[in-house]
Amino acid sequence: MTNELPCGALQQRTASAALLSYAVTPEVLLAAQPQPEDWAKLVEAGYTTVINLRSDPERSAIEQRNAEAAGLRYFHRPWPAYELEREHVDELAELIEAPDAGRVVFHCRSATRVGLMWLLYRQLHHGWSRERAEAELRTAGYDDDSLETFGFCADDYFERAREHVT
Amino acid sequence: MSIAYDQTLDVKGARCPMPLVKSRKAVNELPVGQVLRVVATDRGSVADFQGWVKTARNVELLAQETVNEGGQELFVHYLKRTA
Repeated sequence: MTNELPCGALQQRTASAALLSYAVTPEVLLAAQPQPEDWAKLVEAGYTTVINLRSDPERSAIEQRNAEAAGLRYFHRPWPAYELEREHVDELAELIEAPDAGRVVFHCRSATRVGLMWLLYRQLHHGWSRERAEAELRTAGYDDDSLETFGFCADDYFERAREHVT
Repeated sequence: MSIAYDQTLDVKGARCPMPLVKSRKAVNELPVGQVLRVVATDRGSVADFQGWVKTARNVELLAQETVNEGGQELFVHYLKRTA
């Protein structure tokens, strides 16, 4: 469940491959792109809500039909992971912390962007240190390359946030 | 494809969204009018760059191409700073 793949390699995944995913908490699963057959499996595993970070609206419309047919609540939130703002992390927090959210699957293409947003969510909404947030992601199975990506992009976020303030 | 460019950014091996974050920072350091050539190995960067320029205020995506270098597929993006 936690084998990381390079972004491009995801194109090679077969329909029967296990969903690349990282359970950061019992309630939240960070995942790569689920395949159609994954939705029923996620429902069986107790997940109730899907948040899709990917930008493509046509792909999302198809995904929404499949996910809702399996019994999942579906939210398409194409936040720009390359230029995140506080409002995007706040909106993620609202969705995850909503009383009716249940267990949440938060996915993008390769599970990297959602990992970055989770790190920022922990720092901004729970007051966690970078080290603590990274440790949680590492425990969930993210590798060194992923952590390097999270660190670089999180630094960029906080640099831009400081520029907005000054 | 023959496109003139001023600088090259090598983001081979970088995972999304790193290629875009590094490119945004590099474009912001370019003089207006100059072109940045970005070389990536992440296939998803093709769609990512197309999506980025729809909302970016200071960059135009001039072209994209896929090249094979020693058996490795590279995704090359040409970005012009416009403002």
